[in-house]
Amino acid sequence: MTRETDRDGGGRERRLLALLGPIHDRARLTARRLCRSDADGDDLFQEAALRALLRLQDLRDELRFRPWFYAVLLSVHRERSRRSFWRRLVPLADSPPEAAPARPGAHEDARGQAARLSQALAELPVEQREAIVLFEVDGYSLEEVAELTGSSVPAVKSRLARGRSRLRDHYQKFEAADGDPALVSANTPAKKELGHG
Amino acid sequence: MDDSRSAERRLTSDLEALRHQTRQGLPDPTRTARELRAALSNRASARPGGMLMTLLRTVRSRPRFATALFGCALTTGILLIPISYERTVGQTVTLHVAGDGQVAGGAGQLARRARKELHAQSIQLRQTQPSELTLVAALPVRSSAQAEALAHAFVEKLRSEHVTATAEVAARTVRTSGRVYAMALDKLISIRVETAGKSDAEVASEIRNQLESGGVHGADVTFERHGDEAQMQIQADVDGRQMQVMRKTRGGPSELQVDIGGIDDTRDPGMTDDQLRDKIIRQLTARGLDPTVTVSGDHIEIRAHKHMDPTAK
Repeated sequence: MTRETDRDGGGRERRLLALLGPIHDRARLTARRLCRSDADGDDLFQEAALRALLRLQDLRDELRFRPWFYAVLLSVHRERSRRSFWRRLVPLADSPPEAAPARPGAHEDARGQAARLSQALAELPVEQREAIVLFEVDGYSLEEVAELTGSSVPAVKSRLARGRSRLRDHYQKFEAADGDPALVSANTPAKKELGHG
Repeated sequence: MDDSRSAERRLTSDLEALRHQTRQGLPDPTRTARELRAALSNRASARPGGMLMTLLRTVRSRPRFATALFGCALTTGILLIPISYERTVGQTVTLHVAGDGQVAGGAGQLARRARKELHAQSIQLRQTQPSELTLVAALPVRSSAQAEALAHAFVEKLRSEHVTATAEVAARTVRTSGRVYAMALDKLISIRVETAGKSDAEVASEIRNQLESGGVHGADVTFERHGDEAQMQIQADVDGRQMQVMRKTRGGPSELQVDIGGIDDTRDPGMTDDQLRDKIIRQLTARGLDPTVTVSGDHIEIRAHKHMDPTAK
């Protein structure tokens, strides 16, 4: 009998949803902000929720559900980031088209701005991207980010500093290229870490 | 500077835009529950992937692991590729002896002595100059160091009898085709460790390093000295074959000398078990070992002892 179809399946699902309730929206937002599109973010969250359900028996202390769930979420995110390596080699026909970043001078709506930042975030190493999203976008404190990522506060500070610096570089190149994203992309050196899927 | 400030402003503004934009149409917990049930249902009805699918998923999610796996496969592939290489089948000792009349018994007696002292398979005698004899001895040993030692000892013996002689040692090679790992195994591993002034652990470590350099990895090496008695033991797995070398010495030189491998145990066409056993015994005997060899089909067991002369320097 598989884990998901056993007699306690329904009870476990209710338990997960009850635990997820208080953090549901913030975790969903984090997932969306880590990805290039909302659809990818929703997919990431769904995969993390499913994995959390299948591993719920591993959760020993319900008071520590939030860091536990974020560990699952970030683990799925990192796996997906690694998978994107193969996508670069073999582009999938069903990969969603990337949203075009807005150009200054054109009408800059929030969607275009968000897409531009998502593109810049995608070029960061995965750990720096997570630190920037959790701290700068989601508004978690340094201690909370450390707890959610399973790292120390100094490590988070370091990732934030390096991530901010790379984001600033990216935006300065964007300004210097007069807002042409194609030029920014051509000027940006190849990164060791790969963008997420 | 303006670019920098402008970039900072744009970044701050974009951060706010991302915050705002991602809140649009955020699915509620009810939708999460619905999607979770659907995912569970799909998962339960989905046919589980076979080993190949599991491997493919692992490889897709771990590109570094995949690269390492590919590297290992490539290395293994390279090791299995047949190549042509030079294989040492023995050593040839050429002895130049000044004047045949000086040797007791003449040239014939000298040739017989040379054959015995050098453990030679064959001897050729040539009168190259009126006052010089040349003996060409074919030795079955593949180690040049061993051949040189035998030749040197024989030359020294002749010198003590007031016979002037010089020796040259050259390897006899044949061009053969085999796999890379076969070539690696074919090479003789010579261990030479000066034990004086070193602890037992240091000697063992040095033996291990020399084995590693010779391609024998993960060997279990022990070296112990009690008074003037020294015992060395090596256990390793070489290409699926258990190799065990044990050496016990009392007194003797402080330099430890062990030659591992280099035994040609290939069965020539039509060779019986006894013939192969004799072939191996000949090679071990030529190294000054007292061997016990059992050959039964593909199973070859070699035990060899070396009687050390405690007075030898």
